[in-house]
Amino acid sequence: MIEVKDLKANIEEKEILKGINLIINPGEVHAIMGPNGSGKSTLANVIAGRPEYTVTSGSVQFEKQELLALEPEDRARAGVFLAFQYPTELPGVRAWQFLKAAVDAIRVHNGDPEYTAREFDLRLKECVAEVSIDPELVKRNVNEGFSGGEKKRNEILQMTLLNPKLAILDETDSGLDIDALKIVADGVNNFRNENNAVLVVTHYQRLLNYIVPDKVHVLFDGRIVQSGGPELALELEAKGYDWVKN
Amino acid sequence: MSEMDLKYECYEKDYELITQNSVGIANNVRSNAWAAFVESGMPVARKGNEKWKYTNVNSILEKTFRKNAKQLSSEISATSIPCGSTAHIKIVLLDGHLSDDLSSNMKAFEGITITTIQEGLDAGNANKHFAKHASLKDGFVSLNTALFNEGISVEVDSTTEPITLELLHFTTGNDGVANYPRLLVNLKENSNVTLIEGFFSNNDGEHFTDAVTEIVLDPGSRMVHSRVMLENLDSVHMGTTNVYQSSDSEFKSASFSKGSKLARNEMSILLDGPGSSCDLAGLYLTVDDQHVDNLINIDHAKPNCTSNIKYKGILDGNSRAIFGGEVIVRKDAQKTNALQSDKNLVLSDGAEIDSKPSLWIYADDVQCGHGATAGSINGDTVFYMKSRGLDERTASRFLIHAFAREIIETIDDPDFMQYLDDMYESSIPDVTLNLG
Repeated sequence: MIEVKDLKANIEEKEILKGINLIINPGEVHAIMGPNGSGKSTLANVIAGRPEYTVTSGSVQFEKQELLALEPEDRARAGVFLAFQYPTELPGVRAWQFLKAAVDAIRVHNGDPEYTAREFDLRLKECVAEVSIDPELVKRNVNEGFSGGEKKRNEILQMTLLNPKLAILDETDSGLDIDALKIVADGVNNFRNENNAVLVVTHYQRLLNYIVPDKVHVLFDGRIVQSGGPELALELEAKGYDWVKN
Repeated sequence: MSEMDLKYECYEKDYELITQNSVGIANNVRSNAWAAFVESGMPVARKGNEKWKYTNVNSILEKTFRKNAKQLSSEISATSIPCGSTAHIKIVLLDGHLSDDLSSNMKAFEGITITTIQEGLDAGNANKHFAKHASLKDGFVSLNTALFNEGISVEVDSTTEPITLELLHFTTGNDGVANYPRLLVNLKENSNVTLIEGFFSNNDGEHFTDAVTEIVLDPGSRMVHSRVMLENLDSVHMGTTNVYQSSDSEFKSASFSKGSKLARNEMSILLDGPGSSCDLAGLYLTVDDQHVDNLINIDHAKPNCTSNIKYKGILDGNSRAIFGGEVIVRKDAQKTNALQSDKNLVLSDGAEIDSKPSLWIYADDVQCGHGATAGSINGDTVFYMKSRGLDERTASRFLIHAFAREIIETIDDPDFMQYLDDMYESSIPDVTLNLG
């Protein structure tokens, strides 16, 4: 589904990613772990196309097209979704209108007609029920005045609604209590199937008790220094990140 | 102003015409006002003149603006402001001349007396308030007072049911037309009126509107007021609204501006009775080379009054907007609550906002606050929306529209709100974002 080759990226002249190689196949869940500052969030954001980062070399092939050549919205329409570490508040922008515009942009890209208001309403209600989010949240402005947990759950709602091919979760577990964590994990587990893929970026092993990955990669200083199965996460938890640093 | 005589010649001609054609008390008022105008002229000298610090009105004097002495055309494109499903009076003025054909229900409701100001002065019922609140020291007020046509006077009795009054001013004809809309509204005790004032062009020419509205709120009365400025982008609009509030009266107003090359929207509120309150919202959208100046004066003269100013601006192109909020809390005005804010979304490098909220507090037991902000569209916000599949244009339109809607939604009438929402949404500039 996605193949990252020798990806290097800077922010403000500082090299953060120093040559990432990663292949994720349909149906797989991969976890990226690593200490603070290792480049985990950078990797997630570079794939989604955040403009602050400059890619200096490498390629990201997604479904046989070069993702790095696309605008962020075209990546989204092609099927890439990033659940933000810090979801942005959109002051005054109503969730319903925003979500409909997002879904329709993807539908039109796929050659489907835009939803009617009624069709979208039904679809939104289904998704709200599926991710156990408070229905009131979609009547409000996007993320405005939401608690940290509500913002993260709202990301999972959007993932469910937009139904991407590749979902990237950027530290979606940070700041969540155990109940919210389960809601997020349930959302991801319901989402995953043999045709899509998930990349979970996390600092802690905790989330991986609920979302069991097929592969775990350890990122350190802009490079993947170790890859393995789910047991690697447990080993990291036991030994700490100093273990990979040395 | 002998040296400047030539510049004011066109106004003098109109003054001679109107005083030849009208008689009675109005002529005394006009001649006093003309003398005041001759004394002051237009506020072209801005040095040391804080009120006009950022706005240069010299361009008005570079052109000849004359009144349309007669009503030229009733064939006005059917512009109307959808509002007021309840009792509704519509008054249409073309170049300051009342149009009987286009107006409706002017005499339909008991307890509401609508006359021309000329008639009101002659009958003796407009004298108490007319030209008592808008100051003749202001050159545009004195010019309007000298040159207005019939004007409209509205008196609402205490017993009247709530009613919506829609007043539409059109400037018609060709280039160089001057229009002096004049309105006086007096709400008697405990009456309740929604007043919508709309200003439109029915031509593409460069025209000049000098509008004065005086509103007198007797004890316990309530007015919901809107001022909608939609004249063409070559026009000049100088608007002054003076509100006198007695005890326990309520004034809720919203100004919406989009039109005019050069515009001034001045509102002065005198809270002269305990327990009175005013709530002033405003939304200005400026593009190209537009210049829009909003000046608000609130005078807290008595205790236990509240005032709340909430203005927002959207600026694009090389436009310039000004917000001046001047709130005075007098010594006796204890327990005053006064808030003002002005927030601006600046969409281009060429646009400029000068925002100057100010407070003078002479009482000690008060709660007051003020703030002003200017910002551009936030890059993180746009990236978030793009990452959901929205293109940059759609994302920025969503954000600009949402910014405007906070003010649009202060309107309670759903039809009127929708009208404003559609109008601003269709006018949102396409911006080029520089998100790095």
